[in-house]
Amino acid sequence: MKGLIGKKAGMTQIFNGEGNAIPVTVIDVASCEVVGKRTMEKDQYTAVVLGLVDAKEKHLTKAQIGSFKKAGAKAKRIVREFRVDAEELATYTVGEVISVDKFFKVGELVDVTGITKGRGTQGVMKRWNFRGFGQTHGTHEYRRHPGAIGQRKTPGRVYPNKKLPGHYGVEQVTMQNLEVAGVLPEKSLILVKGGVAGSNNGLVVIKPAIKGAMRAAHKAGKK
Amino acid sequence: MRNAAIQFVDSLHERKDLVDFRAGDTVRVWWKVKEGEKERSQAFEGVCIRKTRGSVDATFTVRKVSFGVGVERIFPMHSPRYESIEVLSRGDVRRGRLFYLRGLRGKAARIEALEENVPASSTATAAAK
Repeated sequence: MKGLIGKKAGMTQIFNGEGNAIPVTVIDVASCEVVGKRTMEKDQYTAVVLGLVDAKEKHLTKAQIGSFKKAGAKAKRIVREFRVDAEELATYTVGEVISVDKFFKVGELVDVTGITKGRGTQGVMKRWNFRGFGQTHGTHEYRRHPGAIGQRKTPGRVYPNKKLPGHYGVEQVTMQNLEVAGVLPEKSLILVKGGVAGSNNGLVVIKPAIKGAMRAAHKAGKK
Repeated sequence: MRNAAIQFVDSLHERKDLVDFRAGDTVRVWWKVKEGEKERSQAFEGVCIRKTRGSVDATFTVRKVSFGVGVERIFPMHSPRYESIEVLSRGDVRRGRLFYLRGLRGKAARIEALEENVPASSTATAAAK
């Protein structure tokens, strides 16, 4: 599975060919380099290792420095692996900068993974979209509560995974089937239509849409 | 400060031929309309009652009274869909948002024109994208 790692730069809007305004998320994939390979002989699987953001040696552990040196690549702060088959792996060289237009073209569908913003401890209304209770008609100190959470003596316990208040956010979320609205190789930017999870400057991973072929087939069938 | 990457993307989509006008000015917007194959420009003339700030997402609202019915239209400042904007007169107003016009009818809804009035370079023709 080919893919890229990048940083979410933020959102803006662009005008398409018809002059319609489209909301886009700008993802910066500058300095996305190949920093290593996983091979069948050594690792029992094949994958390409990409790195983002140059790192100073003082920010890395000795083990990390060693692995970068051994591969003969620049030290990077963020490292992610992408599974590719052996043939495709041979096309990559360590130290190669991956250009944005290598994988993605305008109009294609992609999946973008990010880590959502942390929201701290939250109640059930924000966290699970519970309805809460009436604000008036005699409601007494019971407006944003979860309500009943179980039965009586049978089963006498709360079921596992019951939706209750707690920590919300900082989860990995993948937005599927976002359309690539623009690719700017000169600035290493990729624009995807719509929003992407996480704060600005957050790490995102872009992959071709896993359901892209399915959707295309479905669309073709309709016509 | 805004992100450099965002600024770059915005710069690609900003119109370079922006016309200088303010809330209170009477403007005529030549909006391109597609009719089948043909394309022509349609004028929308009225008072600008609001300009929102922003780079590529800036907009302005034009209000006119058409057959006794108030009509407001919001145009994106950087839209490639308008051909040109003409400034017909400068209005003497004291605020940036003229929503009070909505409650006024007839003579009361008029805006006094400024003495200096329309500058020479009030009409911009768009380089069609």
